[in-house]
Amino acid sequence: MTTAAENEILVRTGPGTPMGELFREYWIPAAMSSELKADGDPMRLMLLSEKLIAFRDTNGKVGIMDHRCPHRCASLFFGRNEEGGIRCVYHGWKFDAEGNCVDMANVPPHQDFKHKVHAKAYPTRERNGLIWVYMGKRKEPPPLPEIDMNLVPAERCDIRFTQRECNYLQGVEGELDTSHVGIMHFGLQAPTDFQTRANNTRYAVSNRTPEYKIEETDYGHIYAAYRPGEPGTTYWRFGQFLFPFWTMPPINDMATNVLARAYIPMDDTHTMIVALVQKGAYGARDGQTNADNIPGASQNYPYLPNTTDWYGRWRLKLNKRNDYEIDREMQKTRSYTGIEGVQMQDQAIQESMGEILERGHEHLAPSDIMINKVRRQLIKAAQSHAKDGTVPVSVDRPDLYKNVRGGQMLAPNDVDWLEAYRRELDSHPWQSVGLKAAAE
Amino acid sequence: MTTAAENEILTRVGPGTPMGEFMRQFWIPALKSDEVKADGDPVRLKLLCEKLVAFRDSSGKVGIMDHRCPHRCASLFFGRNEEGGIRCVYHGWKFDTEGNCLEMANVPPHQDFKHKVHAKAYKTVERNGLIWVFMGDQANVPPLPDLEANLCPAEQMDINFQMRECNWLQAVEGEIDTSHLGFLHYGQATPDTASRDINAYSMINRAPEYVAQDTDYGLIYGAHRPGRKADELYWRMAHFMFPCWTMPPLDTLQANVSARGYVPLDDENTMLVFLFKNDIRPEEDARERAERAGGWDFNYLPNTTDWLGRWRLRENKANDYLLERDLQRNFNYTGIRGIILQDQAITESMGEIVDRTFEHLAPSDMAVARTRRMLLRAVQEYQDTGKLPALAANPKLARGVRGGAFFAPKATDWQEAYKGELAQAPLEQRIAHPQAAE
Repeated sequence: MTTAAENEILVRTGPGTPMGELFREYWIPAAMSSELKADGDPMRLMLLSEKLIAFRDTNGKVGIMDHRCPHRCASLFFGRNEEGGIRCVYHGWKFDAEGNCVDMANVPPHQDFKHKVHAKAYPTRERNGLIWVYMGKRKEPPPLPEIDMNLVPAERCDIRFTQRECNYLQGVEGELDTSHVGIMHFGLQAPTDFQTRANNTRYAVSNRTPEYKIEETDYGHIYAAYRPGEPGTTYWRFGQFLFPFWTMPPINDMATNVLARAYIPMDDTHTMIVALVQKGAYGARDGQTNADNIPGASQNYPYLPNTTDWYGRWRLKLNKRNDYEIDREMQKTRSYTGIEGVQMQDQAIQESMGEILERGHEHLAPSDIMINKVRRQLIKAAQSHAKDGTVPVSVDRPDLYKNVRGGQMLAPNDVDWLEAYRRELDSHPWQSVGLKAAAE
Repeated sequence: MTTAAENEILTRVGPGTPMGEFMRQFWIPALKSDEVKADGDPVRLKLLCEKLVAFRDSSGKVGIMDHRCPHRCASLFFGRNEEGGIRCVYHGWKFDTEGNCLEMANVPPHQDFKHKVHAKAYKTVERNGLIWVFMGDQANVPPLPDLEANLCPAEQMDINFQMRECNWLQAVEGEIDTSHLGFLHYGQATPDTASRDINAYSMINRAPEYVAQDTDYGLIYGAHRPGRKADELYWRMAHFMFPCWTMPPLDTLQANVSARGYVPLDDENTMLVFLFKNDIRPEEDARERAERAGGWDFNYLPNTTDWLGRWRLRENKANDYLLERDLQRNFNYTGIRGIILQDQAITESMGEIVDRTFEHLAPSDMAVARTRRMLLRAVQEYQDTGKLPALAANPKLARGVRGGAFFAPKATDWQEAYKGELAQAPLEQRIAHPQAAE
C-alpha cells in the first residue's frame, strides 16, 4: 500500500522536493550529441521541472544553464550562440558554457562587474553520443556512471529518446513488471508463433503466471521471474533497477541484451525515455524489426517533427490525443491491445493511468513485488537524503553500473538464480556483445 | 535587490491588493473610441483582474461596468445594447451607462425596486480617440491627467493597442531601460549615418551612464554618452509616470510626442496603449538601420470577443514570434522582425511574472531599480495614510513630460538641459485641449 504522502515523495522531482534533490546527486542524460551543433540554435530543455537552455559553443563544448539571463531574466533561448558563448539579445551580456559572464556589453568599463555574475550553469559531459548534465550542489561532481552501453563508441549503440506524457515512475514501474509481456504484448500469441525469433520469449506465453526472486543490490534491485522451460530447465526473465531512474528489462536473451533505459523527469507529468541499446541486441536477424511478424509487435515508432517548445522534443506520432490509433478489429483477432508497436503499448497503458498515478487506488499483486520493493527503496533513499544528505553508495561508485544486465535465459533447475545470472554474464562479456552486428 | 515579498506587492493588481488599490486611484485607458459603436455589440473588457463589459449607448455615451447583471449575475456580454442602455437577456433588466437600473421588466409595477439596484459601473471619459475609466472611489473622481499625447487632436495621433502576455511591470521596465536599444533592436546595425540620425549615437557607444530624479509625477532619467564634440553629451531622456505610463525616447525630444501605458488586464496579461504623434518617421538615411531593427510594423490576429481576445499579435509566444535563426545570424540581432515584437518576445520570455530574486541589476538598470522603490514607497504610503502622489489630484503635473534624445553641453546640469530643450519644442501640443481639465 502506497499512501498519498508516499506517492508525493515518489513522484515530485522539482527543486527542493526530496526525490528531486536525490536525483540531482546523479548525472542525468540530457540530450543526444547530434541535437546540438557548434554555434547552432540554442535548445529549450526541461529537466526536473527546471527550464534550461542547451547549446554547443564554437569549440564544441556543451553548455546547459537556467534559460534566464541572470541580468533581468530574459530567456537565453532567444540568445545568439557565437564566438565561444551565448549572448543575451536584450543587453548583450555573454556567457560561456560554464556560466561565466565574459562580456557586459551595455555597461561602461569602469562600472563593469562581470566577474561577479554567473549564469546558473550546470556541469556537462559528453560521452559516446550522449550529453550528460549534473544539477546537484557538489563543486566537484561525481564520476559518470559506467553504464555498458555508454562506454562503447557511438556507432555500436542505438540511442533513442522518446517523450512520455506521464510521471517518470509510471515509466520505471512498467519496466519492473515482466509478467505483462505475456498479456499486453503477446496476449493473443501461442508459443508456436515464435519461430524465427532468436530468443526464448515463447516460454513467456506458454506460462503467463510466473513467480519471482528479488534481491536488493548496491545499485538498486535485481529480480527475476521464473517458470518452466524445457524439461529440466527453468525459464528466467531478469530485470534491473539502478538508481535513480535506470532500468534494464529483459527484451531479449541475456547473451545479447546489453541495453539500458532511463526514465528522466522533464517535469512531474512529462518524462524523457533515454534508451541505449547495443546494436544487434535484438538478434542479428531481427534487428529493429519483427522477424516473426507478430501483429502489433513492430519496433518502429514514427516521431512527430521536433519543435523548439519546452515539450517539443521526441514526441511520437501515435499519442494520447489520437488514442494511439487503436484498432478494435485488430484487438479482437490479432493483437491483445489493438495498438501497433511494443513501446506504443507501454506508452498507451502508462499514460492511461493519468499524468500522475494515484497509487492509493491500486491493488498490488505478488507479480508487483519488484515495483513495491523499488518504491520502498526510493522513498527510504529520498528520506535519508533529505534528513542528513546521505546519498546511496551508487552516487560515488560508477563501477556499480558496469556489467549489469537484464535478459532471459534457460538454466538447469538446480542452479541458484543469481549463480545462473553470473554464469550467463561471464559467458557473454558485454564488451564483445554485438561486435559482429556492428561490423555488419 | 527585490525580495519575493516585494515582487508580490509590485505585480499583483486584483481588487484588494496593495498595488491594485493604488492603481485604481488613477484614470486608466480602457479602449479605443472606435472599439464601441452606438448600440453596437458589448465588448468583454478585463482590467486589473476585473471582468467588465463596455458598450456605447444610443446617444454615444460609453458605459463600463462589472459584466455581471446585479440581478442574478448573468453576463451582460450577452445583453441587448439598445435604446439608451444595456438590457440583460435573462429577465430584461436594463441599465444605463452610469449603472442606473432603468427597467425591471419581469417584476410587476407594484413590486418594482429598480431605484434601489445599481450595476457596478465605473466613470468613463472619452478624449481624442481614447476611452478612459476610473475604477476607484466613484464619489471622488479626479480629473484626467494632461497627457500631452492624448491632448493632441485624434487625427494627429496614432493609437495602437497591443496585448502582451506578461505582468505589467516587466513591460514597463522594458521602457525605462534605454540601453537595450543598442542590442535588442540595433545590435547588428552600424552608426554609419550618424550625421543624419540622432539614434546613431546609441550605436557609437552602447554602454551609457545614467542619472535619475524622482518627480511629483514619477521619475525622470537620462542615459548619457559622448556627443558630436568633446564638450558635448548625447542624452536620451525618459520618464515613468504613475501609475503605468512611460515616455521612451523614440525620437528627438522636440519631435517625440508619445506615451506608452502598460495597463494590467490581469496579473499575467497587459495591454500596451501606445499613443504617438503620427509624423514620427525614420529619416531616409536611417532606413537601412530601421530595416535591420525590423521596423515598427506588426500584424494583428483578428480580435475575438474573449476576455483576452483584443489586439493580440499574429507573431506571439505560441509561435516563438516567428524567430528566424538565419536572419539572427546574418542581419538582425534577434532574428525577430519588428521593434514591438522584439520587446514583446524578450519581456514575455522572462515568464508570466518574472521572479525578480533571480536578477542581477546593473548600473544600467538605475531607472528600473528606482521606479520599483518609488512604487513600493507610494503603495505603502497610500496604505498607511491614504496619501497619493501629487499627480493623482493635479492633472497639470502630467504636462511637459516628454522622452527624447538631444545634445547638450557637458557643463549644463542635465535637468536644466532637459527644460531648455523642452522650451524649444513646438508648443501647440501642450495647449490645453477644451476637454482637458483645467
